[in-house]
Amino acid sequence: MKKYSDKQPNPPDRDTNPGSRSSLFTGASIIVSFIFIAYGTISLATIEANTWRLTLALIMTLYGLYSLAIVAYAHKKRGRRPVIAIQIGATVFLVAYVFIVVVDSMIVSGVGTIILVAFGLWCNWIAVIKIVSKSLASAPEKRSNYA
Amino acid sequence: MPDGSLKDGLNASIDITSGVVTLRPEAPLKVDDFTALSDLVDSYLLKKHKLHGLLIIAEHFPGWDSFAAFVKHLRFVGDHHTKIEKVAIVTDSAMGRLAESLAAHFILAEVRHFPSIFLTEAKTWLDIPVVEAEQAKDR
Repeated sequence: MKKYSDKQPNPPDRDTNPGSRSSLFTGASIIVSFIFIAYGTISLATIEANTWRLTLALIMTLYGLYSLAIVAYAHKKRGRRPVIAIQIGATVFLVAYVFIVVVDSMIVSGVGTIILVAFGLWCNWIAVIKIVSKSLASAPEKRSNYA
Repeated sequence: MPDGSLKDGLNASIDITSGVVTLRPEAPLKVDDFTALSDLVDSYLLKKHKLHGLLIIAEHFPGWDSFAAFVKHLRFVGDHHTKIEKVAIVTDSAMGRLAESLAAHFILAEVRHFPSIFLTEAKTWLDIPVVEAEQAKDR
């Protein structure tokens, strides 16, 4: 057991396996993306008039495709770019979603749906972070690019 | 005789003798529709353990009221697809054919799409007794 100085706080435990459960989160992320795409495309095919609902369906389809692309990109590319891309995508999508829910009173969505959507975005976000961490852990010489 | 019906965006009724639920979606589906439908189906399954069939009659698919309704729909399908033997989708919408081909990969129940003029055939496939007058009317 290591002994640390009394004058300095103990350093945090180093995460020995930062990319753990990356496969689990990747699977969850892919399922979430397909759910978004399915909802978006079927809604696009069935909605007739409501502009806001059409916009929402389009945004959900695009975000689903975007997150799938980012997960694939994260597998190929080491570094922080995929993480930044998914963060920006998730933030823009959530803002747009909440805006449409607030503006269009036809969508009786409520807080429950927003939490559900936010959970989906969180899954995608964590999946990309885990994939990038795993690839960096397997290639430590690239770690400086991520920091 | 049909028994235990409910009506909102989703008009549903259950025929206890044949064990077939008939659904007529008329407005964008809501979370409450699936909650009510689950209650209706589960109350039947408590007594009989298995539902013989599901007959969905829709001119066109009205979609969902919200994303939560879509997730609730998926949960309903996930919870019940092993307890339903046959699903007949009677519609002229392209969604019927899409649902049939998708369901073949993900759902245990046998799913078949019928154009709306073949309502009688759909009922025959589900073993629902078809009254002669009704048969003539369908033609």
